[in-house]
Amino acid sequence: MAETTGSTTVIAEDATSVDVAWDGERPIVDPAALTAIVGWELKPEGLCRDDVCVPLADRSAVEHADGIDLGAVAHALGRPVLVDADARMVAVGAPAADRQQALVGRQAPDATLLDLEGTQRRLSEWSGTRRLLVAFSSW
Amino acid sequence: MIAVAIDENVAAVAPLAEGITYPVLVDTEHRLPELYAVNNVPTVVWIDEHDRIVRPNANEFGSDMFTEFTGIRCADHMEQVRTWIREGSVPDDAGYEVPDLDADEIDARLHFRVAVHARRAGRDDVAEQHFDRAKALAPHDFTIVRAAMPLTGVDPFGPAFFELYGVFEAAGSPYRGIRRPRD
Repeated sequence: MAETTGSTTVIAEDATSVDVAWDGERPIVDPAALTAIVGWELKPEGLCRDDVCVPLADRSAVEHADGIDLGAVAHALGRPVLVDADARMVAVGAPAADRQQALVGRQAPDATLLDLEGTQRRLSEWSGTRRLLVAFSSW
Repeated sequence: MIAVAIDENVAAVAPLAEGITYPVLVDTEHRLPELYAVNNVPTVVWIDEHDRIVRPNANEFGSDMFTEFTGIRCADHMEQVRTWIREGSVPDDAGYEVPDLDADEIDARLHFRVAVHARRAGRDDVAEQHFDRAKALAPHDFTIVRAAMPLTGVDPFGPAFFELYGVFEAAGSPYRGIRRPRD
């Protein structure tokens, strides 16, 4: 059983506040929260999104009496994960395959970014034209 | 052209975008450093109408403001861009393969994002821990070390920047992408 339950900041595409049942260093989330965070759902056949399912090599690492181990799910999806149980923070990075798509596959990955009005925009909105993607900064 | 600021603070970017007619976006979650392995700015990627990357990460400038410092002139790049748009041909360096991030750089990006959100929540002690960890894991990555400066009360154009640049050069200038030869 989990020792403590509390609001945890989970950073994936965005940062959200999630109820996590902490079992030591293991962040345990409920199934609905899992889908909201990583976009995948735990089913009998594995982790599924739309009609695609990834079988799980070790289902017992993912399932927990109080829910689902978010860190184990991230591992299963090939996503790097950082857990700071003391600070109640978890960060889940992009799958290595998404970056390979850019570096090796030469296909531009899409990303959601903010415009200056604070509205979420997708890079794919500018598909269909030759364009320069310019990363700059204020620092 | 789409300009993306690798910045946590939309308000800091707005003055830089004044009078600019192309789209300006803000990458508060450092998606480009993660998905395109960007480790410094400016970095320019050429993308065609089919979303193919035809010339990957390159350290190109929009003006000659830093030419004295970098040895890079913007006209050479702009001419190549015009040729690509007009004729579809790309320069010889376009086949350059950007090396993937290593495990430490991937971890550093997660620590950085945790630090940014901790700072935003007013948890400065947590933020400091994770900024320090990120910088230790990726000491040559400007999207980590320099981006952290304004978030930790350090002037990103002051001595800390020149110190970082020295460390970067001493490590063989490990920029992830094409660097135009100096004149």
